[in-house]
Amino acid sequence: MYNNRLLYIPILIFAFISLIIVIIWFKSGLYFGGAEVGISPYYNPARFLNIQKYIWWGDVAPGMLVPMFISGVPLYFVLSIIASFVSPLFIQVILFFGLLFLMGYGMYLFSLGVIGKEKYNYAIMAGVFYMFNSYTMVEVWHRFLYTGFFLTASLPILAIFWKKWITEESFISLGLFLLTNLVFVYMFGNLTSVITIWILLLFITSAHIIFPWIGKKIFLKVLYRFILGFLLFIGTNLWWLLPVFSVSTGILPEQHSNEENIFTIANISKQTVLPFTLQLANPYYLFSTHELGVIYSNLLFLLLPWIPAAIIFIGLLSSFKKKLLAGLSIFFLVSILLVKGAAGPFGYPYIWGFMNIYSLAILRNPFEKLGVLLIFLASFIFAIGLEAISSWTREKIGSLFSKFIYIGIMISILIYAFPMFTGGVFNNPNYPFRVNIPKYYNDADNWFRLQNGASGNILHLPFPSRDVVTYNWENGYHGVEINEVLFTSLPSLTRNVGIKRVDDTLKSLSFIFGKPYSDDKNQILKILRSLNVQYIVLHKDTRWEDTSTYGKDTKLNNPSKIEDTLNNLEFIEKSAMFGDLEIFKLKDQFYQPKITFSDKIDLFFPGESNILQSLFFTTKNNQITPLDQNFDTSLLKNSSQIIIFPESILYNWEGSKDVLNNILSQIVKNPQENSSPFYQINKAEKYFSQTGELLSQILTNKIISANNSLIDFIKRKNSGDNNSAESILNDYSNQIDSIFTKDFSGSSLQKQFTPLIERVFILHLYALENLSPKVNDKLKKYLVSNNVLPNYLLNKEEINSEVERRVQRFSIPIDSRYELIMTNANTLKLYPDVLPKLNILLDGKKISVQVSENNNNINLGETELKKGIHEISYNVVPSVNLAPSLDKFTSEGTSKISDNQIILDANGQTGGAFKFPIQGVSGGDVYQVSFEGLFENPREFYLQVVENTQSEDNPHDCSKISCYPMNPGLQTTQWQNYFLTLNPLSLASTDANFQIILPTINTSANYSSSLEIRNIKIYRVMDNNLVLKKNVTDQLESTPSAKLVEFKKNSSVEYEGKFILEKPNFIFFKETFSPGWELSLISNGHHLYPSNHYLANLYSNSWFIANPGNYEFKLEFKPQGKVMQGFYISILSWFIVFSLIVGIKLKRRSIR
Amino acid sequence: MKVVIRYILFPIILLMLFNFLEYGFSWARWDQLFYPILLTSLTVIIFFKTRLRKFFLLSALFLLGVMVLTYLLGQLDLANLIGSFSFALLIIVASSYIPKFIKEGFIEKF
Repeated sequence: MYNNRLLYIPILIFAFISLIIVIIWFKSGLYFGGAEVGISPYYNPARFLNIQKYIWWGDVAPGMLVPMFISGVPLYFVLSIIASFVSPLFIQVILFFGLLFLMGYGMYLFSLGVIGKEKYNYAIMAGVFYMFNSYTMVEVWHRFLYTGFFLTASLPILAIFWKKWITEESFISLGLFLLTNLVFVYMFGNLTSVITIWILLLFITSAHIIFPWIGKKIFLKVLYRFILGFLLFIGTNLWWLLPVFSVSTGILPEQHSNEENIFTIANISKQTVLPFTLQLANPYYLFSTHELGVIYSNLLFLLLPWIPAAIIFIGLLSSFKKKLLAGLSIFFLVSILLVKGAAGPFGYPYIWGFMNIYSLAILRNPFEKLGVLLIFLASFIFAIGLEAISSWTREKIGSLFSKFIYIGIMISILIYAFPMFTGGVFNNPNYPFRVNIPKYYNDADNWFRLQNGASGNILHLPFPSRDVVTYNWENGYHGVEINEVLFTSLPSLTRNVGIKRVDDTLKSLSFIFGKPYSDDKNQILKILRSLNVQYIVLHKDTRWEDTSTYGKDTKLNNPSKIEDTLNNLEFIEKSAMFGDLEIFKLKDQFYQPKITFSDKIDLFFPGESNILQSLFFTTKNNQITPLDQNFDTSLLKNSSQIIIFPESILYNWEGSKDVLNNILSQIVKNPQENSSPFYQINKAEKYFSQTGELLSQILTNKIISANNSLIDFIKRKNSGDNNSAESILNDYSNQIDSIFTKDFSGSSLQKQFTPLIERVFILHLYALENLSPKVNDKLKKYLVSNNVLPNYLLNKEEINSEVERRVQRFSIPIDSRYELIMTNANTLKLYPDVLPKLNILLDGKKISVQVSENNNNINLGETELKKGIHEISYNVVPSVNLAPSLDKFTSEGTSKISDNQIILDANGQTGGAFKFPIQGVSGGDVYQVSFEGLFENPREFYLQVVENTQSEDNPHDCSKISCYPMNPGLQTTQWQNYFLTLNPLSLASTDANFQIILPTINTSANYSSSLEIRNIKIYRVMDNNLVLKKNVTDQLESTPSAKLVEFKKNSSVEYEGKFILEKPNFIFFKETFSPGWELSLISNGHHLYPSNHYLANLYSNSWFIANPGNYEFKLEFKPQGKVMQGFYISILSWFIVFSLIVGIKLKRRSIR
Repeated sequence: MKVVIRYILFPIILLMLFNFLEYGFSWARWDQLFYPILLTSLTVIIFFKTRLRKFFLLSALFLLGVMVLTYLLGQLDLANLIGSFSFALLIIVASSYIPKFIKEGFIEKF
């Protein structure tokens, strides 16, 4: 047992330090919020509790599945009780004090247990180091992730109890270990906390049994304790583990691809190289963004972290000589290897793991996720090192000097962590972390509470394109959107929900209140009804011009423009105003409840369309999208029309025999010829090598090898060396397998270099056509299944030189005749005499078309299609040059026009620019720009596109508009060709200016730069969509044939009520689609469970009910049941824990 | 047999291991083999000439010091190169003490 001095004096020390820090942090009377946690968990914890006790967050309309945050429930429960007595500020003060104190005191107790009671002053220093090292300062406090706060604070306590359990088989310690997990369960909101904890526990256990080896008998005993402890951990945490691991939405895409994960680990690892990891530093925040101050790049501050690093290494060597300490020190070295990720040395296993084990992606940022292991082990090794230095200096130089060094080291650590003592640790130059929510939010919330009959959603405008907002509050706010917490009486439609299809539908809310879409009032009403909107809150306090929050389409977010639109909608009335909040209401006669019915629907297959393309084809009917591959033909009886968008689209290049022969013979003769696709692929390899996209780099290398094999094969075939040719063909065949069987689909290589890859493999196919039909077939299958080539290639005899085609792949649900429609007819005027040139092919065969124009679409006539996959393609025709004549160009700065050339000059005082309007702009357009340039003193210049959705206040600011930096190349007297394909315009853009800028050279420069430009050409890439449409019945619209009699919301996961159907109907439930939602019906005492669950209106749920009658219904989110199942098992596990504690206690007492 | 294991099989396994740890299963580039061969050679020396362990331990620590110096001089790439090598060396030296750690739990002398 520890004596009082060992326990209480450190308590006072760490309490004093923690108290001083929180007094400094909170002296302004404001609490901290924003970033990824918003105002959780301090502001209105009861509201958080209400939302997060369900894994379905119904109050974040239209609803989202968030199973992992259910682990926050115990904390919210406790805080909601405390919040009845104290302010959010006080809750945060108490919590931060507690966390700081536990970090220091916990580490002190752990170190005391490891290095010995007599060295308690060094154990205190371990605690101080744990609190004030670079990692804790930046990755824990500055990163502002609460799960990280809780993990760092709980880790020493967990380690203490676990060590005692493992070494002494103390069941009370096991119980306390499990209880600590329960108290800090909030940290499991980040699943990696589980991994971090168990790696540490594994280290502690292994160090105990291996270093030194304690014999098989004790090993088995410890192993049994480890397994029992692990099983009880799982059991007692099953109430949140079970829903997290057993629930998915079914339409949720993978969060990140393998490619993205490997890209992330490779790039993060550039920041975790040993010179940074060993000083426990995150270079991004300390040295790049300088968020904690530029002082961290000062030489003294670059030097300071190496003082503790050196002491840790001294401690490491010293601990190797101490029994019981060496084991943990070895694991310190292992933890460095784990934390530095793919950085050298020995970094490849991470890359290999990410390539082969998808779930490892959870550790995409190992320094952030596992770094706490490093500081945990470093802290007590630091204490050992400090002791070693103190003893050595005491012995060699004297006690006074020893104390002087000891104090000097500690001061250096505290100086380095000075932002912890000034509050600067929460510095963010652009978005301060301090929050003071304006009072008018509370007033508005109270107003909503008083509204009778309010039951729909509150739509918050401007609607952000992501889940982040920035407010112009007195102290500002930047972070995750929080309206669902500020408005407590109704669900808030305030941000995206993280499901691609649903988010695309929600994106319509960013467009419909701005020109030109705001003119279509019926569409606005339909969308508001479809999303169950009853109220709209216009936030005039948003920092809507902030492009890093809202994107570059700032004009769409302008609250005063949105207000103009809302004031002009006759179905909306202004209801109240509180400060900068304006509240509108959908008039009662226009509002539709959460449950609606429809006896006629549109069958809608959205394919790859975006929401604006989809909206163009909506009618007054609701839309149903069957998700099941087996199409239910009974749906047809109740459909008015079928709309089918292409499932996938690809641009396909093909050449005539002459063209392909020429290219191939050139390649065989000289593979390094610059213009050949085989040579161009090397550029892709270099590109991926620079960007760190390792998977694509590997794939590119494999394609290069396959190219070489093919050339070798052709050469040997041509020389008649058939035997070795066959062996090379075998190698080639294996290389093709290795390219396409894994990772190619969805890779950056496929996404970014599609035309090049396609050209390369068109050549491969052509070469193999006669030389090896078998391999040719195999390759073609790969190319088609990976969306590189269409299934139907052109007959080469019919190709005149080269042709590019846009191929749309459709999935047809039933045999029928369909109208073929080409969208966006307005843009076709940019392609002279385009229609006869289109050469429309269905599955490779030409079809005759009868053209008629209708409402910005071109109807190309009807065609018969069988159920299954079909390809419809057309020739891509070049547009006219969209750059106007030079007299329409506007010059700025030093630019001038002479001899059909534009001349831009730049020097230390001024730069040059010119601009011109692009003709015939349409939202989403993609342009290709080419021009010739002649440089004197080449330097970087910019191409820019200023769209009418973007800010015009800063026409040259790359952060506000679409901007393309251009590499000028080397000084030459020759004209250089420049070519660039621009990114798609915003979907809402209707007008755009193109400009080229040669910026001012910095003022100290004493030279000038000049750029002459001629032959500017801009072409629109032909991207008109083909859509299939079928009118099923003459009765196009739904008739009222159902009535909702009663409707009640029991909770976010349960609704019930009654309705009457006069004829078969679809029931629509306006929550985000999830297979977890189940409808149960009772009619005439019979229970029914409709299984035909459809995606409705591209985001919600619908079921078809075939029989008219009176129904009672219940809608339940079934996966919520997993929480209760897990809860019961957890209760049982706790019962086992208590039984074990009591049983062992009684057994030991009876033995005594 | 012991000689075969010690001087042929053990180095080959080490070479494969170090190559995997640094570059994966790729053996395409011969210049990549230099580093695994260097680490393999050092490992063989450290494991079989135990009296040289302390020298290599001190060398690793010295190189870590050089890493700090080059880092402070702003040569991050060079610092990373030196740091990677010295840390790899430190890991190898520490691994050579593992049998001792397992047996006794600590080492009396480096």
